Amino acid sequence: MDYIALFNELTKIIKIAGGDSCEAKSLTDNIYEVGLDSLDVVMLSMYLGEMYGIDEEISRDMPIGTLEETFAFVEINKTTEPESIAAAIEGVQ
Amino acid sequence: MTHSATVYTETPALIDDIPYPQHAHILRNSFKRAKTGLSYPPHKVLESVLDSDIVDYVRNTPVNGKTAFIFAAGNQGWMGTNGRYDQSPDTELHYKVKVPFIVLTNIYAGRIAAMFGSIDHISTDATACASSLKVLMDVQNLINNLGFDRVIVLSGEDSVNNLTLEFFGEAGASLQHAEEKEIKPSAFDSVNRGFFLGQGAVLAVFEKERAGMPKSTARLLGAYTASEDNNNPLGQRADGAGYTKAIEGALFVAKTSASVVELVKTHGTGTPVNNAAEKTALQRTLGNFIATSYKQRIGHTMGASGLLETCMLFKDAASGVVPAIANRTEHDSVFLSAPTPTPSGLVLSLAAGMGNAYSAAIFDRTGA
Repeated sequence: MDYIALFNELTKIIKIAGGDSCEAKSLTDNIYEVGLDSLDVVMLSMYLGEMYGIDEEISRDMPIGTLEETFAFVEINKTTEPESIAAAIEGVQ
Repeated sequence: MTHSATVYTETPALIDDIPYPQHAHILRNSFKRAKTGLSYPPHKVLESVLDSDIVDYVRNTPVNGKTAFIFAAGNQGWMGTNGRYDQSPDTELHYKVKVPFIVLTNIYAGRIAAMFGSIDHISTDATACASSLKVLMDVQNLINNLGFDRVIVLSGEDSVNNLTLEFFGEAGASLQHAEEKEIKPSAFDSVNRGFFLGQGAVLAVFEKERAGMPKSTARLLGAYTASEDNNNPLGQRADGAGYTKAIEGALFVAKTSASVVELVKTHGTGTPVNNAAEKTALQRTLGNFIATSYKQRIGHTMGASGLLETCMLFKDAASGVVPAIANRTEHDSVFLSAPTPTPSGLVLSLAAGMGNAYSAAIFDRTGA
């Protein structure tokens, strides 16, 4: 899964009520510096938890730093994997 | 009012998986994924009315004065489940709210306002079903007295769900499916009565008059919200005191006489108490007029209803014909039983909200 592309598609859902979508270019990009605010990152952790079948109690500890850190956590804790980015987005919209 | 956009549906769906089965005008797509708790139906409806042309216009056409954003949030219920009602997670209109602070209305207002660029004032209103007309008092105050040149109003209702359907059903306020064997939704009628609930949203931009501004749909001349002497916040006085005070207040602000108001968009829920109150007030305060109601077409969209229905009336009036009140059983040339040519006078729009709120707004369509 292209995590950068997935992240960028997710921000379009997250930011629809908060302005323009954000775009990460690298896994080393910091999520806050890309443009997500404190409410946005809560939504990000909720959506990723839903997409990858991560229990809410566990997803609360999702690190929000760089994309690399966040998706490393997802890899460790996931119980399911979406077939594609499109399927992942469809599953939460 | 220079720009507006509306969202609603004229097709009612039967919601029969609750103790009080009834029809409701539901935008079904807004409930997709609602049970995950991540997709909040009221936000889906609100965001569907955010017309990109209107957003772009506001962002790219600065005004000299300040800009305000008002979120008329209706009943501000933001409820997912309730211990007494809505006990089954399998019902169609059941949804969760996993991130409560996302749905807190003023936080949401701030997030939406950010889409429009630089904003000098953001506020939220909770005057129930009068909300979107009540905020027109704020619009006129901001523009006339406080140096604002533009006010954006977004209105939608976050209480179209099982809880509200069951509350309205239990209170006998909305028309129940069992009653539909004999009656249909209507207003000011001796046979048909009542309403279905409905989802809906409206976005409108109000601007101070200036040279070179876009052609407006209508000019807001006066808006006023009043309450009546009534200890029951869910009741309405048969003498229409609340409506009367609101209408007289709006006429005062508009600096115009009742005789020039010729077209009325009623609140028109069709309940017996509202029929009596609203009809009495209109007959007492106005001269010659015709009146219509939209709740029978699109359901009662609660907080959004006042302004949303006003926009619908502007569109119909511009076509030259004021629609009849649906399902009337008797001839009526005032509370229209048949479509009627648009009169040339001013427009009065009314809305009432639980908690003893009555809102009136007067518009001039001349030059629209």
